[in-house]
Amino acid sequence: MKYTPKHFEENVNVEKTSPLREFFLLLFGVIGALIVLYMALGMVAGFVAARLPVSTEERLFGFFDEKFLISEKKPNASQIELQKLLDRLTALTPQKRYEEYNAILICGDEVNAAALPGGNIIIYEGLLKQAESENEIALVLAHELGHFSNRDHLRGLGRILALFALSAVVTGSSSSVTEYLGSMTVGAEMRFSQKQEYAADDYGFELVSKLYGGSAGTSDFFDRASSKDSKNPLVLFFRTHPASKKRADRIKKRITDEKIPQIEKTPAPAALKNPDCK
Amino acid sequence: MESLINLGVFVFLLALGYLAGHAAERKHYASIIAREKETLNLPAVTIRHVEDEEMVESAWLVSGSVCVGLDYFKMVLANLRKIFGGRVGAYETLVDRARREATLRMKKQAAGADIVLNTRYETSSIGQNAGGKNAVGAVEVLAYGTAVVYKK
Repeated sequence: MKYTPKHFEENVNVEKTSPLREFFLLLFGVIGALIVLYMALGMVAGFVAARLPVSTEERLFGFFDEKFLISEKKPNASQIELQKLLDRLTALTPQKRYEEYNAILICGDEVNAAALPGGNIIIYEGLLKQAESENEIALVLAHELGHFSNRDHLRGLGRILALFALSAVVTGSSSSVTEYLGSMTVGAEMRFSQKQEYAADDYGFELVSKLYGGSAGTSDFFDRASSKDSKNPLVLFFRTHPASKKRADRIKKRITDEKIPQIEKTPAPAALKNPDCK
Repeated sequence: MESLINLGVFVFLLALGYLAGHAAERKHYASIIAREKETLNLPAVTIRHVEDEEMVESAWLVSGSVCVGLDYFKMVLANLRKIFGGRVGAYETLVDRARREATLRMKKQAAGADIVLNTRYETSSIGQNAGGKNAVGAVEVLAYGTAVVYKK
């Protein structure tokens, strides 16, 4: 046998695609598939939410009451005032979905509120501190009652659960991606569509106008929030709620169109102005 | 905020892995090709025996071993590939480099010989299980054979 020195110019053992191209192709493939799956699960969640009886809802999400909310609910003056205000609003609601509604004050600087299953509304200390009148706080509570009335809270929660489940399956439950998603959704920032938010705004507005017999303070909160919106475009982009200015304008338009009387604002009780968070 | 930092670290490691890994790979390939051409006249073959043992002046065992590490980018790319299946291109360059480098190192030990007979390759992965599930691993390739000097 004769040895022939030979150098191969072409490397058959290595694929010739660009790794960067492959990376983005695969990444978009994964993201695309997840989006499709997420949307499908969201649709399923929406379908189920619209038909879920209250008793089943309470059974499914009972752990919220026991584990999370009861421990947060401290019987202090702020908590009692908040509950009183909510009770005044629920007394006026035409159809009661739940037997009792709970308002829970959560300590923290976040300016947010959310409707959770079982008739629980959480409201952050940061939001109360920002409010300048009782009317504003009432509007936020009434807005969340609107979400209950439209069952938005179940749709949102269904999607969050779907997202968690997906992420845990794909990347592992302890992965940084799952943690990232978790921290984004903790604080119950449920993403509702613009339509859902507007519907809840309308519901809230009507309820608060009925309670006070006028429109005072109903658009104040969005007005102030919209002046903050403009500072950081990223904030606007990531917000779960549609741009506040649009929402303020919608309410103002209703006030003029429906000739709702402007009345004196009711000052917020001291216990709500300076929430007891020790 | 903490999650944003985590995401930032991830993207940073990904970019660093790609840039550093890519540069190292290009440099390594250039060096491999140059050295392969230099050592072309020392055959490393898989034939096991010399036809006539009387011809052999001396013989000794030669081995070349190399360990090439994964970069972060390759690891993530391979993990993505695992979802869809198919050729894991990210690993192919890695094992190819390791194999060729091991051969070159073996040939270096065989300097002065006329031929390396019975060339074999062994491979193993290192480090994947040592530092947890997401640890960056490495591949080891060992090439060995018998260096032979013929009687002149």
